[in-house]
Amino acid sequence: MIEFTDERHEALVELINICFGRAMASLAELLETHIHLSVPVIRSVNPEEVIKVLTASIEDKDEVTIVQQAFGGEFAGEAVLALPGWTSQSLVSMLTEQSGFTSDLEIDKLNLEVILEVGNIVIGACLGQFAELLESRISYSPPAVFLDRITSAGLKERLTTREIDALLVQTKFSHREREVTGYLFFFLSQFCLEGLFGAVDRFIKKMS
Amino acid sequence: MFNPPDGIDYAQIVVTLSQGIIVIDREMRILLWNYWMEAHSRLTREDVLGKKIGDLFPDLEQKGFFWKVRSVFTLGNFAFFSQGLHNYIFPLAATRYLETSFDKMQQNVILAPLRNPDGQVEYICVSIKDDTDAAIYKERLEQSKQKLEIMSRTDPLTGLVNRRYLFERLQEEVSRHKRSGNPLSLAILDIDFFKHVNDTYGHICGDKVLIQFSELLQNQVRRYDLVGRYGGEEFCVILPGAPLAGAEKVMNRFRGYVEKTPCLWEEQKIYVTVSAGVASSENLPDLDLDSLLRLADEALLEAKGNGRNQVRTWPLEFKTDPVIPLGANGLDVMPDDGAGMESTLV
Repeated sequence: MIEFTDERHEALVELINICFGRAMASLAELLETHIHLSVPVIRSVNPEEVIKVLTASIEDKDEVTIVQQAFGGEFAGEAVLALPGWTSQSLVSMLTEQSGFTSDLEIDKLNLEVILEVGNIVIGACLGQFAELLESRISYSPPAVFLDRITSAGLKERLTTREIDALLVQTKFSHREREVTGYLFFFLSQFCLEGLFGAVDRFIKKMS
Repeated sequence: MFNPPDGIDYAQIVVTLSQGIIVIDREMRILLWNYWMEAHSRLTREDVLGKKIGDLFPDLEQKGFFWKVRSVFTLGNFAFFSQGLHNYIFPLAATRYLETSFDKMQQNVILAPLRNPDGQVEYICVSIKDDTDAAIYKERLEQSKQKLEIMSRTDPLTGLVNRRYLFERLQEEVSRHKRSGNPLSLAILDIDFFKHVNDTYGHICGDKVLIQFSELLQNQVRRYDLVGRYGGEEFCVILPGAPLAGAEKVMNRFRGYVEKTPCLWEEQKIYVTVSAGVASSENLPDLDLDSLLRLADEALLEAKGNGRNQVRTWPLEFKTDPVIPLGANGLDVMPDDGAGMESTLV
């Protein structure tokens, strides 16, 4: 398990709160509609717990749409946006009708594109703010999307192959008008924790 | 962040990279266009620098390009266009001409923010990677996968689905029945005295009988019923939504057709008959695949034991009147009208 001092934990919560606030503002600017991110829960988990957390957060829905995106830089890890069921229709109307997204893709591909893009911008907005606050830079791998049963072995394998403990940052993503809710998880790899702690300490110093 | 080591010219790296690099500003004007872009677009730097990218490539708007550009300027994130969804973003000619159905270069395109010293996103770097080879392999892989999938579920002789796929589908239908409560029936059929056909006329003739029987069976069931080859001369029909009486009726009608329809073999008419056992979800409160199969099989055994050329249902006490078989052994060989050749089987 990753150990935190109370001071660092508090600072990290504060940091992430600021990030999410800014991320929501920039997403609202881009999407011309408001996406709400709940106060994040931050804790250390092992890979086995990831599925448990996911199962609990998706509630009674059997199927889950997952957008997975790896990122690297001073902070490396993986971000996961989990949407219960196949909510693409609501997302498509959110992006195309409200936010002016245009595409000549046929409907099946458009659904995937929109889910990928929503995942990409929500993840990118949060991480981008995080990196900016900590004066760091992040690069991203292309996002991948898949739909699976929450109980499936494939999903479990995809999410738990890392043999390292992770720092879990969990938040609920919601868009009220379109009744879309999802959960955003950031798994920060243990390898970058030194860098993260260093940056958090710098942040604490700057604040005090 | 990155400080160039002495003597290394970053601009040279960008210009000589073997992938497309374009830099655009907030007005969508092109500020950088590397050698790779020149080579593949047939547009020189002089042609494009300072021009609006949308004027050179009018399709970018409907591909969502400018929306994503806006998102990178607003959020400072990366944006992606995957080959799998878009095929290509810039209409560049494919560099491979053989063995490909792609006339345009397949691409993965990434938009990345370039920040000024204050940390604000001032430009966007568009990088274009040729993904045509990977797309060709993906396409071929998909084709072989489909071919293999069809092969793995087909019985090569009759073209019906094989036992493995039949059981897979039966399991699905059992699950569906449990969810919906709609009836589900299963019939197992066995050609009577089929061994005699093989022993008398040879296996090629036997194969022909099996093929004709399969075609006849396939034509007699409803569109959503599934006919499969269970084993040698045994066949299964899954009848979703059919109650026991309905399934029995279908099987009985088929039994009548088989009896009357000869298979022509070397100027002879070879007649076969069929026995069938039918079980249904109606009489099985806790239906599962094994019990449905077992009970249909029990009904088939009853049909066999009771003189063949008949359909029996489970539960066995609801017996219909036995049908008198045509011949003592259920297999009649009639001389063809023209040939006048006769043969009898014992």
